[in-house]
Amino acid sequence: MGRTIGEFGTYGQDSGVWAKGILMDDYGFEPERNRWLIGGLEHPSAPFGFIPHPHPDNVEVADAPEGRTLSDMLDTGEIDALFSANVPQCMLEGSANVARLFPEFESLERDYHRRTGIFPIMHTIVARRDLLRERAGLASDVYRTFCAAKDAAAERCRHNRRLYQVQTMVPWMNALVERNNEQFAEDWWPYGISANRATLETYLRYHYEQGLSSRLWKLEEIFAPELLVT
Amino acid sequence: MTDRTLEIGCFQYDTTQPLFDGTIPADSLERTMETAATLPEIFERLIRGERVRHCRTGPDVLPEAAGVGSAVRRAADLPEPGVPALVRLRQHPFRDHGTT
Repeated sequence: MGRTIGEFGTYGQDSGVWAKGILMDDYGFEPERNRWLIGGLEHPSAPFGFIPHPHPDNVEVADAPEGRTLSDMLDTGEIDALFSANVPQCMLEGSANVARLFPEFESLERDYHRRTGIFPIMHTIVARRDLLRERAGLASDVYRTFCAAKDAAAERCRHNRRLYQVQTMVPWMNALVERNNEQFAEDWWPYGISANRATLETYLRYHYEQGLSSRLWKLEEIFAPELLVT
Repeated sequence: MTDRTLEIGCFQYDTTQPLFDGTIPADSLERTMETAATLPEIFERLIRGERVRHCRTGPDVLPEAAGVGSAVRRAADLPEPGVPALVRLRQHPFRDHGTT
């Protein structure tokens, strides 16, 4: 409490919503009792200028100083913590000033997924509403195309693993794949509403609880109607 | 390119790479694929596209990968319905670009 915390791009950036929400649920975290500094992670950048930046009146939010990055400010102690989907450079370089909040993050995250069924999502595909009106079936066509791409990628991954042509330098990749198969079964990245309902509804709840949306949105309101059965 | 060609913007993840490299043929969905150095650039193009669209002819179609939060936040004034192809979860590969 009473800390200065960095967040990339906007107060309420997707990974920040997840991190705040999970900490609120599991640890009683109160975002409003901290000060939030918004900026670029590794490159100085102003907060996103293309979306509104709503936040509750009781949450103190400010821009990072011009020319500064959140990674550097974490290393120097100008911010106390950083909520980020990406590991900051200072951490990768082994700075003695910085440590993970949860050193055993993998086991904790896997346990969270087992307990809740939630594997936090950050991105989806969106389409212009006028376009969907003009072209019946377009949302389904886009959905099927992205599913086909994912399936092709998964098959490529399986094929390369069988032939030991894994396109990564990471050691013990087989062990990681086996752990993931045990946790996620066949489909590591399920698309569609039903497989992700708990995750998406939790995200929308967090978004509302954190004062980023004026009401609790339903999935039926934000996804194309023809895809609600996916 | 015809006027039915979709411009789809998304990052080149392993799960979307087959859309870029021709593994998934265009006959099911005529499209051009675009990416950018950072994800926010893609989001911004979609959102600012509403202005471009009014003065453009031809393919002005722009489904894009977007943060769930951005879609929700915009929903109050310009709904952009989601397609539940949830391109990537949790971790981004391109740290150096400061992507979200």
